[in-house]
Amino acid sequence: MINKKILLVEDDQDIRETLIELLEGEGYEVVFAENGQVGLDKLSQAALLPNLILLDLMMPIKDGFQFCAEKDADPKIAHLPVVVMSADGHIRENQQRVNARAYLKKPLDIYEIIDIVEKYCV
Amino acid sequence: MSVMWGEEHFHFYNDAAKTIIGGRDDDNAFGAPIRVHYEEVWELISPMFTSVLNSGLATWVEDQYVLISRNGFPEEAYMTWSYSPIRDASGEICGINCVIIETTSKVIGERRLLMLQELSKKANGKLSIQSACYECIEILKLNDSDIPFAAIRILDKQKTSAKVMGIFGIKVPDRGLRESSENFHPALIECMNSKRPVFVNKLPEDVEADGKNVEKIQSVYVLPLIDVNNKKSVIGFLSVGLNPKRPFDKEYEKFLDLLADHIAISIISASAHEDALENAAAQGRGEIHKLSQLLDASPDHVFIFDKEGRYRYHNKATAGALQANLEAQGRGHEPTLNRNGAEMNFEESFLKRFMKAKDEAFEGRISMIPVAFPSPIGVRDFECILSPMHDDNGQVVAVAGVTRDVTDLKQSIKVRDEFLSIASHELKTPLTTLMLTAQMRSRRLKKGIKDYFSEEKLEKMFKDDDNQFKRLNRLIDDMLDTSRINAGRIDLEIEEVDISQMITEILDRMSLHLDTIGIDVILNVSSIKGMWDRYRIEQVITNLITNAIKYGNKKPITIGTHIEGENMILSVADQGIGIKKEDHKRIFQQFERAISSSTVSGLGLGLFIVDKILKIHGGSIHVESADKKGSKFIVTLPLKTKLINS
Repeated sequence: MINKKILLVEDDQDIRETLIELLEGEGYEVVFAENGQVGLDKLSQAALLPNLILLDLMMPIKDGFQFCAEKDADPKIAHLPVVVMSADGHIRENQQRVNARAYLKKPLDIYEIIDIVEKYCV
Repeated sequence: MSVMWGEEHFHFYNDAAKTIIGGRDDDNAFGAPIRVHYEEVWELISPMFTSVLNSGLATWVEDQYVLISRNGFPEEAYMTWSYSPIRDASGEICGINCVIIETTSKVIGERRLLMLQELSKKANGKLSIQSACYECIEILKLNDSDIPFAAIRILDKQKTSAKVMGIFGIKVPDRGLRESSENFHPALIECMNSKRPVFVNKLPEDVEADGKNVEKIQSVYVLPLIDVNNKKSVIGFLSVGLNPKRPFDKEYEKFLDLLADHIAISIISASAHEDALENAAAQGRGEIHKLSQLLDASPDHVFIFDKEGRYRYHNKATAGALQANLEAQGRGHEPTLNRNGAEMNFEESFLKRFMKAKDEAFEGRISMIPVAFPSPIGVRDFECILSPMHDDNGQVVAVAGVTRDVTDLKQSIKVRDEFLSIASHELKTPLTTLMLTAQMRSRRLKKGIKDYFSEEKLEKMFKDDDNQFKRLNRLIDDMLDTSRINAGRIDLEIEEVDISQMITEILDRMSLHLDTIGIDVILNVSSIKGMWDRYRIEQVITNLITNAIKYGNKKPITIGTHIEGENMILSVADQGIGIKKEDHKRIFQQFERAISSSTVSGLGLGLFIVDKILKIHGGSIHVESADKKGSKFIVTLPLKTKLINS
């Protein structure tokens, strides 16, 4: 069985490591990027595209909003589902600005993560 | 008493009658026909004679005015006399018994007393010297026998000039003019110096008569008007003409002295009133001046509108803003007072709101509108409050306006809200990690994964948690520091610090982090000792190194120190993404980051705090950098801290 692949785009190292541990523990293969630019690079280099993108919004170099804009503009990756994570409270605004399936508020709840990832991972 | 006898009316008189006969009492007078003695009044008394002789009835007149020449000039006199018939044995009237009482003193005394009483009654309590003089003159006019003409001159407070402030009966060329004491008539000068009345035998040439009988008068009596309570100083002069038909006797002199006293009192009381009024007015002016200075000192716009929205009053701040508005239209020379916004071309939508608020205020309601106005330092936000101003009857007669610059307030609120937003975002990051790990451990426990909880693994967990707690703590400390810096409450604890030792310690602490990322640090550091706050300088260096790591693109970092004069120069350089020139100043501001705020994590307080800490030590920091060309932060720190309050 091929493990489902998740691209995790998150700049904070500690959160990233914890999420990787969680997701791998649930049986997912995780590729990570520390900002939007690295995320796009990884997508363009990937032999196999991920089944889901877990995206932080506030990152240096290229933030989540810009990542989404560029992803949506690229026909090769536009179809990939995105679940957005942020500590920013303006959920509705942010959800409108990005084309995301779901919105996870920080601090994160692991059960919520597990459910949503399962739901939207194609 | 005298007797007229016989047809020729031979006059036989007693000694007492001599006063009436006057100068005609010579050797031939006694027994001369009466007509001789009373020539001037013959027309008057002969009918009385005749009536007594004819009717046999006694007759008399009381206080009769007669003009008699007993002392060589026609003299005003008053007599009461009675005639009664003297009958002979047969009852025929053969003579007239005449009893005369001279009542001159009484009559003249009474009329003079009346004048003085009038002065007492009417000429006091006047509110101005001018009206006091006018009233005195009106009273003097009533008695033109004793006072055929008069002029009141008042000296100024310095006694160097005088002004005619009341006159009747004569015309003087200097009426109404202030005459300098240099040009005073010698009589005035003598009067002023001696404080005694002076008699002038000849009227000055430029004085003209202005009334009946006055033509004949050739002399003037000048009396000083004296303030007995104020060192008996002379406050003016009363010049009067004397009655040509009366001798200038002691009674006359005394009367004129009393007159002058009364007039002086009247003028002094009026002068006191004038001074009191002037003091009240000056105080009022003083209060208004104080108030207007107070309002001019206010940075708020304070103004008063009338019903048409015209500025009836505006303080300095308001005038400045209105002026700036006109200048922007090339109308800087125009006035601002008593004009309304429409005339001065206020922006249309604002003017509409402004005038609506003004109308509401005139209906008695206080209204508040936000407003943006250009000012010498750019467009500012204001809040304008218009309130009704009432008169004593409760009617709204004007509108008071206060417009306050709230730009800084709004900015502060904006900055605060931004800070709170960013802070809550940042604090959630370590919280997220803590929550995730706690939840995951709980889950593993439930699943029974026991080897997850070995002693070794537990130790690591606690260490990880500890790091997160420290991270949270650092964030909170940063926020506190910022708040303290902004409130000027940072106190430094100065001690001797070896910079190279400190840098080594910091790098030691960060060694794990540096190794993990794989960054090399190049040191050009010497052992420089300075007097600084150890904790704060540590904060500065740690911050700069952390930034170099964050933005350094994993390329080597260079740290250098050297001495320049009284300062140590410390530099931390990376070869990372660099900072655009236009951002070089901005990055040291609160909440600013090298890249636009929403994309970089971290509170953005680091460089702000670094800058402030260095400033408090008397030092400074600046950056040399260009986009994508790496950054070099250069710190200048006096070797001996020059404490400066932030």
